[in-house]
Amino acid sequence: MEKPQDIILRTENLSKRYGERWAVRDLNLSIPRGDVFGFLGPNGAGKTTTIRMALGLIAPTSGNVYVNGVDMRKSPMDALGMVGAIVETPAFYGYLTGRENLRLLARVSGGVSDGRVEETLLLVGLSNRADDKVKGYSQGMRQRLGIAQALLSEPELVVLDEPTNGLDPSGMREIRELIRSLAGERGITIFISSHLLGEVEAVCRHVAIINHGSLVAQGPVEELLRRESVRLDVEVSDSAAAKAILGGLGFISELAGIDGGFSMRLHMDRVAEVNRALVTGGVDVSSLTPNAVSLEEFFLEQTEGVSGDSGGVRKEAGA
Amino acid sequence: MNTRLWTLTKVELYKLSRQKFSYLIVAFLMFNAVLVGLGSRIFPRILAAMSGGGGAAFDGYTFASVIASGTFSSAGAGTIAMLAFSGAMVASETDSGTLKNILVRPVGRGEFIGAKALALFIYCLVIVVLMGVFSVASGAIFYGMGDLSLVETGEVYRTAPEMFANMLVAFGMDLLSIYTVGLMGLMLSTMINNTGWAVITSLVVYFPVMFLKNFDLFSPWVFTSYMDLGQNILREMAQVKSKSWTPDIYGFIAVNALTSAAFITASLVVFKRKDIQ
Repeated sequence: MEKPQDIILRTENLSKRYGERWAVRDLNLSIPRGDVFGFLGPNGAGKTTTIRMALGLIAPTSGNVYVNGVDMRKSPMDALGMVGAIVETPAFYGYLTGRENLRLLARVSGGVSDGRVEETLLLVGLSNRADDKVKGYSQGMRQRLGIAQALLSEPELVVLDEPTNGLDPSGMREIRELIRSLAGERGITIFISSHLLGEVEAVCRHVAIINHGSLVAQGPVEELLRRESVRLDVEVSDSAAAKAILGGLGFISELAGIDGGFSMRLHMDRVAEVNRALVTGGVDVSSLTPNAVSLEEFFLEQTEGVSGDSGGVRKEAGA
Repeated sequence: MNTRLWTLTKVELYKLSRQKFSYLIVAFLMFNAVLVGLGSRIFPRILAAMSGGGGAAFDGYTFASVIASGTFSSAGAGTIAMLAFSGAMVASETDSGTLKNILVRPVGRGEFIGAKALALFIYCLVIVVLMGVFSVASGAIFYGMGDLSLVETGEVYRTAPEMFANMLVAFGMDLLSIYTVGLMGLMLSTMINNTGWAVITSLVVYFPVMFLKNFDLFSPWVFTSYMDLGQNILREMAQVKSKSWTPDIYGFIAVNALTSAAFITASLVVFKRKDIQ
């Protein structure tokens, strides 16, 4: 159980309604401090609306956002003083250079020195292009400048909406490394919204999945995936007998023949039962390999076929 | 003044100083001021018609007529330019996404609008001062300086210090007029997210407001009724209308101040409640 002081961002029954449509409904998120947190959901699920509410850009219809325990509605300036963010595509003044843009935002933030501007430029690898006008920047360079501006005031929480958008594979790797180092070495909490599940799986320890505006799963990635089903590959001596035995087990699904055996989907806790059933039935098992479900598979399971109005069945690991 | 507000205002002024559009407006108005002054010397009758019997009506002999051409620029071209400029002030930031970069920082929305309004005032001040300098300079070049004398009799109608004092009043009034117009554009800019639409709306809304001055019921209360007052002070000198004419300066100040306050209040109310998409 996490203590309140371990939570840097918390939403409490956060909701936003546009006319008759609920973009976000009763969302309860808890972002642990010092972690890299992935916020996932299909297009139109309510990710960006949630982020905008969390940053005070749009007013919630109901519910609250707390940053480090500070109520965003009551004390937005105090709450935002602890946050750095990119919301959607990073936008800058094209007629200014990268350095000028950062200096200008440093003044707006207050208390950010020119030295800190240079430090962030170095951190995101833009020092050598800092005097070029932003209108000449590639998408990847803008993305890096976006991360630099989010880090200017040395925030405790950095919110990155699609941080690897428009980056080539090497750029994505650089950003991934940067995110890891920010969280690992500097203790900054990173909240990433993305639809690139591989990216999220590579850097995030915690995730939340939202669909149709409602939370459908939240928790540490390892726990969420471990708690769910695995794909089990078994190699057996007698395929026909094994097929009959496996067909009689009510807890497996997606049974399919593979070279020298079978592949099936079942809950992690049931793997031993499969082995026992086959051996008891006189079938020798030469190998038995449970393959963890990927975040992508888990995500699709959670988001496909879930009714928006019902909000689906919420799963919380470690709860 | 609130330090934070001043910091934000300096940021706004820095952005203005780096945008070509800011200079284009200044250049356009200065060119207009000089051109009208020069034109009054070369084509007095055409200019007399253009300026509604103003600038060149005194056969192009008066220094004041050229100064009046400066205020002619601000009253006409200046208004249009200011509407286009202020209409884009917030909308362009919403449109491009830079607004989000600012508002996710510890910046109050009221401070943001306050800084825009203050920067707009300073920009208007620069425009009006430059317009005055250019108008006076072109007047001095084309007509010379000194007392304003009637051609026929040689009688001194206005002394040079009198003319200078009137000129200061006229351009001061122009500053307030232009600023009120600018605040109207700023208010509309907080309501509309698309830059182009915000500018077009500012221009389109202005004309019915201007038209209201033709109705006795609205005339005393609408700021557009007073927009020509600064120009008319100089026209009075240029055209030798009547020394006893006194402009309604108090009405001008009251209506413009109240209208400006209403525009700023509306901008704040709208912007504070606005969802930034």
